[in-house]
Amino acid sequence: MISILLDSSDKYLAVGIAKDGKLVDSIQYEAWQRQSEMMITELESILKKNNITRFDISNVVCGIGPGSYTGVRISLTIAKVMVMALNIPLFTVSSLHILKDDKLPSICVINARSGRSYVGVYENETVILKDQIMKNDELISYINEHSNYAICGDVNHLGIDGKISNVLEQMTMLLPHLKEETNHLGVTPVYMKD
Amino acid sequence: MSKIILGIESSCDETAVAIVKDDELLANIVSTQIDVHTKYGGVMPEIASRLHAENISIVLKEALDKANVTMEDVSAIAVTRGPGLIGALHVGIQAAKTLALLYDKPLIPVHHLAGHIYANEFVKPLMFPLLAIVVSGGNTELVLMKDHLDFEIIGETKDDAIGECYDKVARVMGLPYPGGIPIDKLSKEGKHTYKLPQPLHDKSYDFSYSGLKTSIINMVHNIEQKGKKINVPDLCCSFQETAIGMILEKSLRAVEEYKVKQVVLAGGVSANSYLREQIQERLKNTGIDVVIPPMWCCTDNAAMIAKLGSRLYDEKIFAPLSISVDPSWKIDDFRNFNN
Repeated sequence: MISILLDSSDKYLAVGIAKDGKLVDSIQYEAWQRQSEMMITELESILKKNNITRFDISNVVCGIGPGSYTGVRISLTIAKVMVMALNIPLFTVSSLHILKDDKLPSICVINARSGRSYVGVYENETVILKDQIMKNDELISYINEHSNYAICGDVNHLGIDGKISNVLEQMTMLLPHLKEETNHLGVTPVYMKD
Repeated sequence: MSKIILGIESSCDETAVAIVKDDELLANIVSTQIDVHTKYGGVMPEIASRLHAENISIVLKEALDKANVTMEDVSAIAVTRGPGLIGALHVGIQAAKTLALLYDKPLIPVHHLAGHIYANEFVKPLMFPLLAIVVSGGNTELVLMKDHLDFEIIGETKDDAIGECYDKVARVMGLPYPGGIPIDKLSKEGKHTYKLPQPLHDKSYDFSYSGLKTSIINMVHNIEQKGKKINVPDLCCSFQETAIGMILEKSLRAVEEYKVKQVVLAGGVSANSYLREQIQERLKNTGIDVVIPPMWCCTDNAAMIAKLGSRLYDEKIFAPLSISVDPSWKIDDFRNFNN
């Protein structure tokens, strides 16, 4: 049972392989606005390295946003074309949820620009505050009111340091809790802004 | 073994996939976004990208089903790399790269306007030297071809594209988007009565449409301020004869100078009835062949991408999986797809 894991909704590019629910190989690095070139070549190298061909792939798991519009579309387009061609299931997950800490309740943040942030608060598979767009000053107040929560993601725009998570590990952990997309050909990213 | 090329096009407001087997078009699926963009009076780039991402695998599946071929049967994947809207192009290129990777097929980057020129091969073979009149919402250029895959831009617009000018002139007259269709239709009911500036009326093969656009906008506003009304059909006729007139004049001069054997139309504005009629009329009895693309080839489609892809396949013009899009790719640079 081999799952291909993809996310490029923020500054990062993440490509991984999970085998029977365990992450067996992963690539994750900052590739701001280079995902268009790199995503497929990284997928190619990780498949080759692990001797995986299209016949071995059971499903695809992809971050669905919110985040950079072009970034989310890159990994979701790859995922959608893979599941169409191979006729396999697609699982999607909030790109905020996979930023969470292993154990702690986590305030997961992606910079939405123009003084705002995409925010979701999670504890393991449980949603504490569902994904939304927040003004940065409101987010800072929320963070101050929840000092026992981990702050996850790139929060340099708030003038604080966040925990940079291994999104592929979190994705693998959440895998049993994800629902299969029924409209796997027509699925669209979560944009949160018109 | 037959050669099967799968073509993908997503440079503007049509998500399209086509499959060509040798010279036969097996499938040509186009999901158009025109109704959505009409509401905004023009193509909204972010909305276009969203609709491409939503529809791409649906259109791919429909094309494969229609053609009754599997990805294993496909010889290569051809995709529009540019020019076009950056976010829109990204969707097509990711789809093409994914298929090329999964099925270990060659990836062929195709120039969108070269595709429009080669759409004429669905009508008849190209003959050289050839003059391509490339006119669309994003481009206005005269391309000289001395042989297959040999593109030389001899003239191009210095500012707006002719199609863009049509859209803006239509809007000031209260006509819907895209402006080419209503202006073309109404101009048949009008007469050329408005005196308009001749855009870039010089010895070059270059064009300029921003001055013509501005002078019409100013004229309409002046007339309306005086409480009078413009005669819409007459202004449509005057505008069309002026805008297309310059294309005709410069094209005919190029035909003579370069002693071309064939003239082809390419791009969205090649659907314009005045351009289609006049180019045939003015080259009648000259021995110069004129190819008018069928209407379905004037709008964006992937059949033309697969068609040209098939020729590029023979030339082994293949790209690595690391390619990206180029929104301003030049036609004479089509062999260069370094990012």
